[in-house]
Amino acid sequence: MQSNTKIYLYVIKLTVVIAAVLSVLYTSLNPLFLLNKEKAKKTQILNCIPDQQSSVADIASVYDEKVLTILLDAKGTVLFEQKEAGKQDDNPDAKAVLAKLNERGLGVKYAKLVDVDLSSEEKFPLEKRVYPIYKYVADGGKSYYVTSVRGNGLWDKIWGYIALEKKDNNWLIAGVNFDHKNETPGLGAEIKDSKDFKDQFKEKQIFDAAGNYVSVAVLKKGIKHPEYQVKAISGATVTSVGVSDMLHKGIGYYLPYLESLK
Amino acid sequence: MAEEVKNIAIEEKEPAFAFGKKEMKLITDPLNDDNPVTVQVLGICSALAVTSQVLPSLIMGIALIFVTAFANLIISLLRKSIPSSIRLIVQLLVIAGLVQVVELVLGAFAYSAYEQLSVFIGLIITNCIVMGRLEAFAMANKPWQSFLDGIGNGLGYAFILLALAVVRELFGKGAFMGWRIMPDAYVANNLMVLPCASLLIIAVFIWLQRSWNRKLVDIS
Repeated sequence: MQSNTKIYLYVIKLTVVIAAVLSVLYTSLNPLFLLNKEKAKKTQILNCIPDQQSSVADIASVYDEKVLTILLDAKGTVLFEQKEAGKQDDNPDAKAVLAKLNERGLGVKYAKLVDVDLSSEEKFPLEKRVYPIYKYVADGGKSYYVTSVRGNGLWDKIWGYIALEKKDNNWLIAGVNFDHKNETPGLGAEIKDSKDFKDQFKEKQIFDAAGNYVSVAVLKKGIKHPEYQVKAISGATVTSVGVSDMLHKGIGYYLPYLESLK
Repeated sequence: MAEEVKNIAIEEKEPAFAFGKKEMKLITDPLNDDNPVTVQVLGICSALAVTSQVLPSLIMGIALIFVTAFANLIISLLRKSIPSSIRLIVQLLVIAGLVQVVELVLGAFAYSAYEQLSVFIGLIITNCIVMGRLEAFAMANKPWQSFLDGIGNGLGYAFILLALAVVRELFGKGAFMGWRIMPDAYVANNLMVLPCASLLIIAVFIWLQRSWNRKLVDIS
């Protein structure tokens, strides 16, 4: 039988050793992890632009070249607008806005514009939140606005990027990209995995013929307005309704801004 | 007292990294006669959760081989110094540390797998295979043998996981590693991608194994 002091010492020594090893690994690997995360986000944004073909290797450079970030508050007021493409790490305006956003606390620290994400923003009350919108300028001069949306699936959060394109006083969806934290593979997870589901959204309107905001509804049956309704995933009702609600609410936050572009 | 001295003397005669019949058995036994999933019925939870596709199962298998092997090695090295009253806590500490290492490495070098598996990687900590082997083997055996035992059990688990994933992805999605291989006329069976399908398939595996390996029938 060993004395208690010995046992305590043993545990403390072991914990210190393991903690030391882990912290060394963490400090050396975390930059790579953050880079991966940033790249994954840029890929998701670029993937909803139609005819956008860039290989994985040059995602970062295509993003820097073509995407302009605009930050809005929940009422649609522009807080920051990126004027020209390129890396914004040294842009004083961007830095000032990010510093201001970091003052809100709750552990949210943005170092770059691309870090601004709804997953952090949803910690704040609505009036303090910031909504990023990404403007993609294609080679032909056409521009797409990519909105960021976030909502609830069956088990956990779902989110997505919706590319919008202006056409005759209406906004059409050019492409969508969804992702989820923990939806059931083969059912709810199809919002991410099924190309057919995502392709349905192309060319859908978000305003009806009378000019009312309708977003795009995901319905199980009874599709009467194919111009703004799409088919749900069978067997994944809750996730499908979640996508529907997420789009209606999420795109809604960007409406004042989108309307100001008319 | 005299006997103890003799035992130690015998132990010392063997080379430290021998790889003979006994060591081979440590690796091959968990693949069949002593399989952690189909015979010991451990680690079922993650076998249900990650096996709807082959690729994440493969990575999960590799992660578990790494964790069991090194947890076994570390605990075996420490086995004489661990105070017996807190040995489970010490084992858990070592496992949790190793799992964290796996998570960091995956996040840095295999991000897409990290995204798919993140929750389940963390759950390796509670995977009964790891702790079971530490208690049953590493606490009583030398480091090299324990390391091999860890690899063997990890392989046994990974093997079942892969077999399960191949069946589930083939019938649930008509694909293998994401490539569609079933004819277009095949309608994917959604039951296969649900966790309950893994229980059915594991049961079929156990049935097949026992009808082929009669030795196991008497044990149960």
